[in-house]
Amino acid sequence: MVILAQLINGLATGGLYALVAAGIAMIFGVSELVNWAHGEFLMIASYLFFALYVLARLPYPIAGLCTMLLMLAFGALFQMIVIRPVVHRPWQTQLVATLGASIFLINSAIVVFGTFPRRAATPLSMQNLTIGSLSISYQRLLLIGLTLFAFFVLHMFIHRAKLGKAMRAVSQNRDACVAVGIDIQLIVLTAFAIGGSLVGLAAALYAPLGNITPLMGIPLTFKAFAVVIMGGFGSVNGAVASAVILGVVEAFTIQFLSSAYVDAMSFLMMLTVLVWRPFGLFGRQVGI
Amino acid sequence: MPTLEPDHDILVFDKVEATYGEAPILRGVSFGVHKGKITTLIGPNGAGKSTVLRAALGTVRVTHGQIVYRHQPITGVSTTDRQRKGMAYCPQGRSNFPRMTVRENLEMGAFLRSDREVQEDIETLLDEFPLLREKQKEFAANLSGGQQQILEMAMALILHPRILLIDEPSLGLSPIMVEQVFAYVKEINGQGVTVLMVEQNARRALAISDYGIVLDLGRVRLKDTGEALLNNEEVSRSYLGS
Amino acid sequence: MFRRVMWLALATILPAVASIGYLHNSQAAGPIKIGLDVPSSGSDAFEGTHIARGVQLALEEQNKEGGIGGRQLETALGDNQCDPSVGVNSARYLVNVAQADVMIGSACSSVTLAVMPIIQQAQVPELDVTATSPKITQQSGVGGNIWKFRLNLNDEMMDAVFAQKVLAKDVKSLSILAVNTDYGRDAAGIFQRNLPGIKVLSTDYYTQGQPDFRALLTKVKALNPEGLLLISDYPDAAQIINQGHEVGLTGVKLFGRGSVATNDLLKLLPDPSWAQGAKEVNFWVPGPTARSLANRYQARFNEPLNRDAGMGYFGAETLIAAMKDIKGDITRKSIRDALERVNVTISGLGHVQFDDHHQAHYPMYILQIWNGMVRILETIPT
Ligand SMILES: Nc1ncnc2c1ncn2[C@@H]1O[C@H](COP(=O)(O)OP(=O)(O)O)[C@@H](O)[C@H]1O
Ligand SMILES: [Mg+2]
Repeated sequence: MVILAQLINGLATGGLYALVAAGIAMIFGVSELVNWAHGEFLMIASYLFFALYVLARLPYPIAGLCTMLLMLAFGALFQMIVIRPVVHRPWQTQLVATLGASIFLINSAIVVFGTFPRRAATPLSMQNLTIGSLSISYQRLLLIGLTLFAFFVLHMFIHRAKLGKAMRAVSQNRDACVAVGIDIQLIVLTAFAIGGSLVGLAAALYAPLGNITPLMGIPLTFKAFAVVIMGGFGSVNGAVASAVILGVVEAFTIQFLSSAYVDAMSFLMMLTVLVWRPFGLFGRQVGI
Repeated sequence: MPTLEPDHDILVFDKVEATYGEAPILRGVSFGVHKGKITTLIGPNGAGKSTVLRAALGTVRVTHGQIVYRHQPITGVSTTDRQRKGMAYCPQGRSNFPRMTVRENLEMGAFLRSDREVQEDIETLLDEFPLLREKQKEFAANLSGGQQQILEMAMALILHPRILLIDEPSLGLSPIMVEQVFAYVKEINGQGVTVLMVEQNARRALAISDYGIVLDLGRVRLKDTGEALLNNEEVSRSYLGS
Repeated sequence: MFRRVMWLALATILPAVASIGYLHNSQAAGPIKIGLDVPSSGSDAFEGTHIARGVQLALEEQNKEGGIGGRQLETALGDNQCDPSVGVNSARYLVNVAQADVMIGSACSSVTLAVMPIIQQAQVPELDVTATSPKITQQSGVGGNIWKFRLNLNDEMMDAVFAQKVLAKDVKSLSILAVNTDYGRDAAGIFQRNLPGIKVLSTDYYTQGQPDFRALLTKVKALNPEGLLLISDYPDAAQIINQGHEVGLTGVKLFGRGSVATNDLLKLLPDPSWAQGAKEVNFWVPGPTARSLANRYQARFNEPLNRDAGMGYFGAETLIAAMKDIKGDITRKSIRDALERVNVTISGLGHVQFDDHHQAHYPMYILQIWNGMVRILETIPT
């Protein structure tokens, strides 16, 4: 029973990592740029959700949907304002730009909302499903379910939609994209918008279960980064799969080894992958 | 010697200077591309041949002179708009999407189109290039070099171009494949598509070309019919490597 | 080469010349300067601001009675931002430029430890009122820094007494969840050493601000401890209690060390009964015995008295008591000597006297969350 419980815990944690990591991987895939502010996207999204659900009292599904849509716009705007000016600059400049943006976003949140944590509990987050010794809130079940659904939709988009295929194209051969008339900046913008809406979804699902604080994005950026490396840089499927694996490994590490090793574990896994499989757990063939 | 009369020309370079940064790469290049014909650019490595194609497409900065396409100056027209107006481009080196299927690659070739006939056109192309139909579900990376070159040409053709800008299609191919690729170039031209081709394999290329242009150090050295250039002694000595 | 020598010479002469000026200044019988070595900006700005207000109230009250020996009391502010490198500079400012006779601070343990060498070198006494690291006590007084004093109780004193006198009485088995920092690890160690007769079933560490505690809590639940000790501040403690409720970890007795039994925690719980009965130790909170002070503070600053403001007030009171006892000139040295002799009962806090390591002792507070409020359960002598 404990094993089953920890498996579910791992899946839920992994789902959260995956929603953040997918965006980082996708953005890297099309722009070869690491968005160090991606955790802060989740933070901003969580405050947006808080504003819509708690302050404006919108019904939960509408507040969640609006958060996703606003984050879609936020991602696109972020690309235009922060990323576009540095696309042709060396990676150091890009690093400074995204790190600077993340500091700016954190401080903006502190100015607007203060440092005291906010909460946005929903009726679903207050009620638990109990089977034997297993207990889980309906909100977390919703998180697992909708995360799976979101990745199904994302997968279909990337493999079926014209824009999605173009994203894969950009990640595979930029020169060829020029030849066939794919506007790379537009695709990068799309990746930021999708990355934004994924964390918007993550925020709407996860914010009811935790504290909303200006610093909440930082640990997630690092976990997600580790996962993106494990998944093979730029591979969305790889990142998602690695996120779930990491979540489950963490849960079992806590249960059977020691909680002290949890953070070490993600970096150990990342290093092992880097040494043994430099192109990620799943190799090159799993492109965006 | 036939003149390259502007009226016949679908694409005209008029004293074009172009650069990637500071140093000028094209230093006043002028020539015309005769509509419906095959014109080949030859010249040593680094002469600026690829840059000519990029200038036509608008992906390199033109600092002086102008480029006229279908009797209209195209300075300031975006690359995608040039493509929509019938310019197709096959860059030098592999320019497909290796981890997408052959069919998906063809769909990407049609990225700029939003009409409903794309799938039909893909079917037609697959009929024209049977080897692609055979491999339509395979990743492009699994095709041989020659097959990939043919795929890239097919990708360019989906836009129903008026002119095909093709950069070193024979690069790195086996002699048999070179023959086949040139045969396809000829066939494409036969369907009414003007071709501006860059080739290192100058002898072969000139043999199927109507016109040839010799470029060196960013300047046009000679322009003539393909045949005349083939028989020109100086060209033979300096540029055909024999 | 010559230039370098010149610079070196200048560098050694300048501070010497400057200090002659300072010496001269400190002889003058102007007001007595109390340096406030506290964070007044940055993430701990609240703490410093409240300490400063408490000090200010105490000084204003004393000044109304004529100051000390005819001299008025005034403050000088050095914002240390709770950052050791900033704190070193602001302490130098207070010592050399503002010419503080005595300082209150540094409020954050890491800054205190960084500033201690500076006050020792400058021979300025400094009294801490909120920094809780046991290291400060270990390094002060006999065999250490004789200029450093601490009024508030330190972590080791509180943890050991809380473990022996509260935890050991309440439960037979315990799981510990501690924040994975030096503070959390040290505290967990102190508890483990002071819990004879109690089975510590697990000690786990978590990363501050981590989003998900379910795996940890699932593990704890399977161990079925009678008590759960959270060495946490209220944001993490709230996550743990909320997610504990989610995994069905109910009926466990909660204990806290950090800021668990606080109104801040209650604000983060959907249902305050989830933390019902949670006990925590603190070195001071406003209670019935501080009612008069609370009223005066409210009237002066239009906000309720809190722990840090109260400790600022008591710190200033301690300094005033020491200075009143000085026979001759009030100097940095005579204040230090007087602090060692302090033996005074401060209303609202208790009896204050510094031990060999310059650590004061007074009764500590056991707080408890009860029916959605924080109440003072008892005070225990230290
Ligand atoms: N992207 C680029 N940035 C800077 N310089 C370039 C770039 N591409 C080509 N060049 C330079 O421009 C000159 C002409 O290049 P190119 O047109 O590719 O020559 P060719 O195709 O005739 O071999 C070369 O000196 C080359 O180094
Ligand atoms: Mg070239």
